[in-house]
Amino acid sequence: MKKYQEDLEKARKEVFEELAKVDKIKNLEELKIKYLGRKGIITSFLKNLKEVPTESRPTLGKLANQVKDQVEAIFKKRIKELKIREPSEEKRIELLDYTLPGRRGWQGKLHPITQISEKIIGIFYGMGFEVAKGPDVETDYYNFGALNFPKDHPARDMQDTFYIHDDLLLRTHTSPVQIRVMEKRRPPLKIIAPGRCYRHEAINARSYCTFHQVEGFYVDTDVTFADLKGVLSAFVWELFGKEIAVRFRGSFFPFTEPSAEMDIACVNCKGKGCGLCKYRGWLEILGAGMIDPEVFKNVGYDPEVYTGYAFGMGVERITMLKYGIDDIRLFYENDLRFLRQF
Amino acid sequence: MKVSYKWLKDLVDFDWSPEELATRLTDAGVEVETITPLGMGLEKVVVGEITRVQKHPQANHLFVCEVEIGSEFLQIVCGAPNVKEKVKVPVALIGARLPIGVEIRKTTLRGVDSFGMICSEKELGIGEDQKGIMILDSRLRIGLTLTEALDLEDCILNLDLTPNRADCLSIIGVARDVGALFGSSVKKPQIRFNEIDELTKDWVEVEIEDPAACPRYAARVIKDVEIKDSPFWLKRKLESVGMRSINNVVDVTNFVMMETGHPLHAFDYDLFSQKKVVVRRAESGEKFITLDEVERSLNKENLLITDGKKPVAIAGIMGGMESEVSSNTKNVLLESAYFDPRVIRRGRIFLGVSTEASQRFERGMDPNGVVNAANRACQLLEELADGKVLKGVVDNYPCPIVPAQVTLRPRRVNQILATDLKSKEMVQILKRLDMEVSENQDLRVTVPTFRPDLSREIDLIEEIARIYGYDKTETSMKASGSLVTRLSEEDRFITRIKHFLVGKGFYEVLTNNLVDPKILKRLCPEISTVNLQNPLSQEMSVLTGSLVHNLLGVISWNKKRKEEDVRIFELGKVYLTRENELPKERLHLGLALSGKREMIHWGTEETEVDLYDLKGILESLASNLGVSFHLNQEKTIPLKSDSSFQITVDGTKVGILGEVAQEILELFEIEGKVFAAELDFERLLAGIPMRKTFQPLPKFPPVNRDLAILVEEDVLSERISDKIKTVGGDLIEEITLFDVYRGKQISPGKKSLAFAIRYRAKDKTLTDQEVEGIHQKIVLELEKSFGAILRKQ
Repeated sequence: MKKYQEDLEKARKEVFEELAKVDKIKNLEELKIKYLGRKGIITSFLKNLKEVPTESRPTLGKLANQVKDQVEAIFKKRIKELKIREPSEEKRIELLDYTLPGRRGWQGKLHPITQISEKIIGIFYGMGFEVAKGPDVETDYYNFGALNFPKDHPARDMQDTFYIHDDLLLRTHTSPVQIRVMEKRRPPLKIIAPGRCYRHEAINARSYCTFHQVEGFYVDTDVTFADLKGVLSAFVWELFGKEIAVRFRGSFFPFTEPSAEMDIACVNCKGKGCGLCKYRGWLEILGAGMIDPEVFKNVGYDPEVYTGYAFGMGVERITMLKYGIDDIRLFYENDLRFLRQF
Repeated sequence: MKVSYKWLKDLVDFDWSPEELATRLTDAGVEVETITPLGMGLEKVVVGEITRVQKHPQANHLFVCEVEIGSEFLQIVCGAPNVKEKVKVPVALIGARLPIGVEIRKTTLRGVDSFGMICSEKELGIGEDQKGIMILDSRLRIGLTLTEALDLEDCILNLDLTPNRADCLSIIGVARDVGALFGSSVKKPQIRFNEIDELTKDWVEVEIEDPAACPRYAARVIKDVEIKDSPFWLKRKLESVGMRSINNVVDVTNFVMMETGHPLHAFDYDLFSQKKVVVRRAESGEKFITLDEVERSLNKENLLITDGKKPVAIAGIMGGMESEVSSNTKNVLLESAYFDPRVIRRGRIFLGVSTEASQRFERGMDPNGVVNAANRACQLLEELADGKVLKGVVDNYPCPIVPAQVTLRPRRVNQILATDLKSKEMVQILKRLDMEVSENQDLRVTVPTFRPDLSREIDLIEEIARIYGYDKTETSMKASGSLVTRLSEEDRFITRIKHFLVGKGFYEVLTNNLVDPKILKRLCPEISTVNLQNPLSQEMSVLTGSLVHNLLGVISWNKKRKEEDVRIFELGKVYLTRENELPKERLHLGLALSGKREMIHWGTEETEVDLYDLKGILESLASNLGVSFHLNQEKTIPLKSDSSFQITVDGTKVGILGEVAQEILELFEIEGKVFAAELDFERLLAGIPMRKTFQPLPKFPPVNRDLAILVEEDVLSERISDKIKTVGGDLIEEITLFDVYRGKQISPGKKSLAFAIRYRAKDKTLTDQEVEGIHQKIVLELEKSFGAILRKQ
C-alpha cells in the first residue's frame, strides 16, 4: 500500500517536472498520452487498483483519482497557455478557408411580372380590395358590348382584337371582369382583377400580343372622382415612392365618364424631360374614370343610386418603368440571364 | 391629326407658348403627343437678288451668278435651268445646315469659287418643287431671313385623338377647346363670295336612295375654274399639317376639310353622264376604280355616289379615278354631305382602307355644317381658281338632325366630381364650348351637332371637369368599402407553390400562350385547340394546350444561348375548345428540368439531373401541401415510353411526369435530357386537405430495424414497402428505403434493397421479442410474395 502511494507521488512529481520543460504543444500532447493515455502512467495506477488489498482500495482509489484530476487540470492549463503563446502554428493546422464557396443550392426567381403583380395586388389588398378573375376567352358582349363599346364604333379600333369567331375573342382588357362580378353581386364592391390580355398588334420592342393588366373598381353610393384620385395617388406613392408627382388628365374610355389618364413624373429624369418620357416629363401610368351609367344599366344597377370608379393598368409597362427595361419581348423570351436579374 | 400653332393663332386668341398650349390641351383630354418646330435649319437662308448671270467658262450647264444679299454681293455657281437676272431667290449662306442635311461650304466648281447656294423648295424642305430654284415674291426685302420673309416659323402639334373627339379633326374644333381653356372665342372666317345668275338646280339634281345612310347631300357648281398651282400660303398651310399640294381645286377642298373638319369632294362636272347625283348602295361584286388607281370590288356595305348611270365615288371614303379633277377640268361639282358614321365604318373596313375623309365621317361630322363648308370652298375657289359660283345650293336633307337637349343638374356635377362649382361657372364653361344653356334650377343644354359624343348629363359633367381642370378637383384620401377582404384558397396556394418552387431553385417563366398548332399537335395530337380567326401568324394561331410544350420552347431558347442548366416552372392556363360554350380554361402547373443536378462546387461531384430529381421536387411539394403523390406507368406522347408516368392523388389523376421523348426534343432542337411534369392545378387543389387536425406526440420509444433483401429487378420498391406496411400494420411508423445496390456481390438480374423500419406502439414500449416477431413475419411474407432473399449483415 505504501509502495503504491509512493509510486503515485513519484509519478506526480515526474509529471510536474517534465511539464515544466515542455514548451511545444506537440510535445505536450505526447506527454499527455504518456501519463493520461489509455496505457498512461497515471491511468495505470487506476487500473492497478484491483491488485491492492480490498480494504485499501477506497483510500487509494480516492487518492489516485485526485492525482489524475490534478494532472488533467494542469495539462489543460498548460495547453491553454501554450496555445496562446504559439497561436500561428495551431491555426495553420486547422485553417478554414472561409472564402471558399459554400454549398449553395440552385436559387430561382419569380418572373418580374409576377413580382410586380404581387406588389400591385398587395397594395390594393391592403386598401380593402378583393381579388376576382375572369376567363381569357370572352364573348363580344363582355369584352365590348356591356362595356359600352357600340358595334361599328371607332372606339373598337382602340383595342385590336384576336377573334376565335365573330362572337368569341381573346379579351383585350381585364374590364370584362367588372361586368362578370357586377352581374353576380350587389354593391358595395371593391375589386381588383389581375390577368392576361391580348391585342392583335405587331410584335416589337413596345408591344406584344399578350400582356398583363390589373383592373380595379369600386362601386357604392356616393363614390366620387375625388375618391378615384385619392386611391390611385395613394397606390402610385406606395409603388413608386411618396415624393413622386402625379397628374390626372382628360381621356376617353367607353366604359368610364368622366375618363382620365394618370401620369407620374418621369422616373428617369424626375420631370425634366428625357428620351424615356419623350421629353414630356410625364409618363402615362394608367387609365381610369367614373364608371359610365350605361355600364351600370347593363348589369341592372341604378346609376342614380350607385356611382363608382374603375381603373386599369398594364403590368408590363409598370415593370419596364420600375426596372428600366426597354423591350417588352424580354418578358416572354424567359432568358435566364434576364430572369436572374430580378 | 396635325395642328399648326400659327393656324390656331389665326382662329383664336391665346398667349400660350407651343409647349404650354400642348400641356393645356393634353390635360383637357386632347393629347399632344409631340411638338415639331418648323423652319429649323433655315436660319442662314436669306432673300437675295440675282444681279448678274454669266455662263460658266468650263461647264455648259452651270452659271456663275452675282447675288446681292443686302450687305454684300456673293459669287455663286448654280446649275438650275431657271436662273435669271433680277429675280429674288432664297440664298443659303456659308455655314447653313439645310433641313435636308446639306451643309453649305465655300466650294470651287470647275475652277470657279462659289460662296453659297441658291435653293429649290425641296432643298429648303418647304415644298416638293425641285425642277429649279425657288423664285420669291419680288416685293420681299433683300437680306431678310427666309423664315421671316415667308413667315415659315411654326410649331406643329401632333395630336393623338381619342375616337370620341371627331370635332378635333379640324383646326376650328381644336381652336374651340383652346378658346374654352383660355377664355376667348373662335374667330371663324368670314364667308363672302359672289353668285352668278345661273342656278345650281338647273345643273344638278340630287337623289338619295338610302336616306338613312346618307341623311344629307349638298351640291354646288363652280364654273370656269382655272386649274393651277395653289398660292404659296395655301401650299404651306397644307404641308404644315402633313398634306401634299395637288392643284388649287383639290387643295381648296383639303384646306376646308382641315379648317372645318368637313370632307368635301370636287368632281369634274363635265365627266358626269347626266345632270344628276344619285346616292345608292353598291351591288355585291360591283367594280370601281378609285382615284388611287386601284380597282375595288364592292359589296352592299358600300355607299356609292353615282351620276345615275355610273359610280363616281365611294361615299365618304374615296373618289373615283374617272371623275377626278384634272388640268382639263372647267366646271366643278362640289359635294358636301353627311353620311351615317356606321355605314362609312363598315364600308371602309370591308375595303380595308382608311382615308382622311373616312376617319372623319366614321367619327361623326356635323350634319348642319355641310353647307357652310361648301360655301367656304366656293369662296376660296372664286378667289384662287377664278371660278364662277352658281346661285344656290342643291341641298337634299329630308330629315334634319336636331341638336340634342340635355338636362344638367348642377348638384349632380358637384356630387360626381366632389367639387363646389356654382351653376354660373358651369354655364360659363358650357357656353365657351358653343353650347346654348338656359338656366333654371337645372340647366337645359343644347348640344351643337358638331359634338355627337355629348348626349347625356354625364357627358356634360366630363366637359365641365376637363375644362375646369382635373387637377383642380379634390383628392380624397379617406378609405371606405367593406371591412373584410379575402384571398381565395386558389390564390393563396398559387402564391405558396410559386414561392416554394423558387426556393427549390426554379425560375418562374411566363410564356406566350399563342402557339404553333403544328408543333403543339405533335405533343398532344388529340387535343381540340382554340383556334384564332385572325392570327398574327401561323406560328401563333392557337391557344396552348400544353405547358410542357411552352416550357420546351423556353429550354430551347436558353440552351441555344449556352444556358444549359434550366430549372423552370409556369403556372398558366391551357385552353380546350367546347361546343356552344366558352372554351375550357384549366390552370396548370408545368415544371421542367435539365442540366446539372447541383451547382458546380469544389466539394461536390458533378452529375446530371434524372427522373428522381423532378420526382423529388414534386414529393417535397406534396409534403408541403399535405398530399401524397403516386406514380403509375402510363404512356403520354411527349414522354419517353419507359419513363412516362401519371401522377395520382387519392386515385385521381392530377398530372404527368417523366423524361421528354427524343423526337419531341428534336422538334425544339434541344440536346441533352429534359425531365418534365404537368399538373392540373384545380385537381391538385382538390386533393389538398383544407383542415388540419392535431395528432398527440408519441409517448413510447420507437425501435429501429434495418432490412436488406435481394429481389428480381422487376419488383418495384413501392410494392415491397406497401407489403411491409400491410404486414406490420399500425406498429410500423415509418419505412425508409436507404439503399439500392446492384453489383459484384449480387447475381445479375437482381437488386438489393435496404429499408430502415421504425416500429412503435401507441400504448406501450415494444419489447425486442415483439419487434423480432413482426420483423420475421415481414421477412417471410416478402419471401413468399416476391421471392425476396434476406441479406445477412
